[in-house]
Amino acid sequence: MRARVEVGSTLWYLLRDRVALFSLAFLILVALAAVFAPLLTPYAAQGMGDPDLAAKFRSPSIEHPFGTDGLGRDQVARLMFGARRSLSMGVFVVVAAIAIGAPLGTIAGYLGGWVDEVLMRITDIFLAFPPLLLAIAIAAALGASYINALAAIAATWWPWYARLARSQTLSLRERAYIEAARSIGVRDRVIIMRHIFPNIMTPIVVQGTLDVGTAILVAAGLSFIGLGTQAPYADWGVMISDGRLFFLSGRWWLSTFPGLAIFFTAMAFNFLGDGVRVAADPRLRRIQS
Amino acid sequence: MTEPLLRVQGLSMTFSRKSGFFSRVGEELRALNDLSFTINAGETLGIVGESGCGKSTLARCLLRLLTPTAGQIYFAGQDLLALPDETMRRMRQRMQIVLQNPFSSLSPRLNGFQLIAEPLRTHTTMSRKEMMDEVAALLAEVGLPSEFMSRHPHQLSGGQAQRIALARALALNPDFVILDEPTSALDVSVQAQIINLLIRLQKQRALTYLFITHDLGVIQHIGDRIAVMYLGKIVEETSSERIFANPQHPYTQALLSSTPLPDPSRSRQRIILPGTVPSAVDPPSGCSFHPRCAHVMDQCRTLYPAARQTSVGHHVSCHLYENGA
Amino acid sequence: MTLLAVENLHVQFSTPFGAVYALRGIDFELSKGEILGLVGETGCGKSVTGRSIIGLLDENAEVTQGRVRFENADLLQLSEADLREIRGNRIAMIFQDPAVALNPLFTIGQQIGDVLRAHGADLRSEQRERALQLLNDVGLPDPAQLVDVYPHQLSGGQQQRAMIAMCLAAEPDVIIADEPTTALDVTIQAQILDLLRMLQRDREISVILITHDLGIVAETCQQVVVLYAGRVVEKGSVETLFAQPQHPYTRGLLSALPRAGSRGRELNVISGTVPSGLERIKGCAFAPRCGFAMPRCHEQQPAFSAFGPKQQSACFLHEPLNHD
Repeated sequence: MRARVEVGSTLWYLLRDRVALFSLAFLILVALAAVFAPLLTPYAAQGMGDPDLAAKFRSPSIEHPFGTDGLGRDQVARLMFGARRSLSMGVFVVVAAIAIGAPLGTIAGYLGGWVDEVLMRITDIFLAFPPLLLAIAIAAALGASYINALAAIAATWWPWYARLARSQTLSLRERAYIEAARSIGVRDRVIIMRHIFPNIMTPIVVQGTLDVGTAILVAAGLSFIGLGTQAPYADWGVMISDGRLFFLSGRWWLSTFPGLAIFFTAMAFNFLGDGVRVAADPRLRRIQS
Repeated sequence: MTEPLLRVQGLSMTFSRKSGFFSRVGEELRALNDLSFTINAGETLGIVGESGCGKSTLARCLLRLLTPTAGQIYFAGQDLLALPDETMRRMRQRMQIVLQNPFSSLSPRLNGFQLIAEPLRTHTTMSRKEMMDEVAALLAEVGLPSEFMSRHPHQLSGGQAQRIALARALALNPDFVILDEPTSALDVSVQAQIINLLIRLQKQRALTYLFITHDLGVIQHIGDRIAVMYLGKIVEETSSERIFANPQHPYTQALLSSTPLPDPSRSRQRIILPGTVPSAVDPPSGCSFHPRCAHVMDQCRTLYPAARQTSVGHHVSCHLYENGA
Repeated sequence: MTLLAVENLHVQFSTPFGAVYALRGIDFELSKGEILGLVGETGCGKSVTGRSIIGLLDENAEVTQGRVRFENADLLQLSEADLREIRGNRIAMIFQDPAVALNPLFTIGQQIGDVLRAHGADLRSEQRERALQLLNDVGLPDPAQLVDVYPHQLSGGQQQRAMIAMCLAAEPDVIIADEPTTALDVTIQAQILDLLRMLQRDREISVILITHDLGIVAETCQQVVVLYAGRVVEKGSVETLFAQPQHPYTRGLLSALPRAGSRGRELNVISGTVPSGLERIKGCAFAPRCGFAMPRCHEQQPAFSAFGPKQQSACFLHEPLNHD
């Protein structure tokens, strides 16, 4: 019948999407590896940054499947500990951007008028800059650190969610059930919390899932140029940056494995987001009920 | 004579829209044009008209979901348009609306209890237990068992969903209910159930209805008086019996003749109106019906006919009835 | 003369909740030059029937049994290429919402021209002249101007007329009209129904009119087929069926309509709701809502009983009649 989004059936369709399911499984594995890194590797200390100069620049072997770096640190361990920062960075950036953008966009869309004008012009200003450049500028101004990089990226990202939330709210505002709620005298605050917010969260969550991969990439970019995670800790961007000097001299493993980690993780988030989008939208499922 | 429950005087609603970013002159859409009517307590006024005639705009203006550009609305003696927002918000307890499609007027994420309890939560300080009892009683009143408290709209049939919408509208014990095409989205057999329910509820609760519809069959069954609207104006208004027995305005006649009836043996002269309803942005001069009217005269093109009483309680706005009516 | 016959048509849909039995045995015949009304409530399968005839079902639908005879062919057995030949050329379809059925990017004239080109009118000038003629035939005012406008510049009624003109360009024998007036106002609906009657009278086009409105059937059609839960419950000529409805469902529907004289009375209601397509129904689908249901109604499907030469109804109540 009508296009309705329901959590149960969304999950049903999602679990029938092999690509999405595989992506989800992959991401869960990466996340588990990050969380349980100390238990999974004998080189936990190296993963946290301690050097082991006796073992430097080992090429991939049984003992060190991904080789070791110039300070003798096992690359598998570094990757697992790096995943903590890279993954959390991606997720936190998106969560922060949604937390700022979604309420502002919803309020702008619901209230309209001058509130809408002012809020949307502010987002326009943010959107006028290339996001990476703006993030670099903010991160540089705040000083290089994990948390500042996170703040810098989130600051360039929230306007997209504000726009999305606003456009969703604008179309919801005209729905009969919003009008019905107004006609029984429900206050605006309650309408936004009960009737609008839950309904706009589906497209926002979809967009957010798609964006986590990109956020990891951008965060890696900042780390690559030294504005993100600082030594002795590592994230995947730092690892690529550290390894790049040795790439041509034959120590290819240093940059390649973190590069692949970023590549597959970003792609998995994209496939997953796409799967959620299709599963949550009855029109894309092409099965009538 | 007692004061009617609702008295509308000279109600107009004009939407203006800028035609371009830099242009100062905008288009004006006159959705409602100087409407006046009354509804007495306990009666049903039917508003009949086709899309674009302004009937839904009227409903929204009466509830002040839209602010009319001119006119007065007196509800139980109070001028609604003069009320401060907060007073109006509380006034909404006494006037409710039921919309055409229950699947779009019921929030898809709430269950039956949440939907029906929402007005109670908004306007009363009932405990959850009291609300449960109240919702169960309301469900019973609209003919649904209390299991429906836990159902979401998509688990309901059209008729069940419209019953929930009705229970929600009745929760605050209103005096006045606007029914905006409440059965148009329903199948015939379900429509009959809802109409019977509406009539029963009206008797039990002494409700006053404004019933908006395009279906003349439905309104002749439930309406006491009927107002026919065309392009933002009421063109004819009289009792339900009379409008079907003796329609006077050429538009009303055409509307009645166009309505298909399930009786193939009935031979009748069909009046098929030419053309379509003109845009309210650029309405025709004079009587707005004149381009489609078979009886058009010179004066129809220049002068809008005033409403006149052709017999007791029968008002028509048409130049045909100006002499010797 | 029978032009098109639907025989024992079964269609099911696969959905996450299981198979939905949309059609559970549809039989009817369409004669040349008549308007046949397929009438029923939401979910009775009337649109699915119309779509199965010309092979326009959704991907998850499957015809599990039955035939659609048109001339000497079974349309359900034709290849997609052969079916395309018939679709549009011989059997055309118009839909509830003409705004969706017309391509917004091309003018009305271009869209009619495309159909004409497929039918051998190669010259631009010839196409244009025919298009003007067709627009005039369907009663659009000022065809010379409308031929060059885009669909969104027309009103709903005008779009539906343009859609009909497009169908006529192919000179079809059958038009399947799926709720063609549901989106339109009453006075515009009267215009379109009048146009359909005119096409049937003047061009001998047969029309399958799918609708939920018994009034439309009574005023427009010669034959009527009443569907309930994917089966035909009653069919026959409009005069006899409306004068003497036999099936309890048809009777219930007709008496549920508010009409002149019903004022002040309770309307007759059919209690309960339509069964879900997910249920496998053994007996008569209407039995659970029927006031006359007997034990066997829940067990067996009733066969058609004839009432005169022109009317048939599928109900066990009629059976004693047959034994006289």
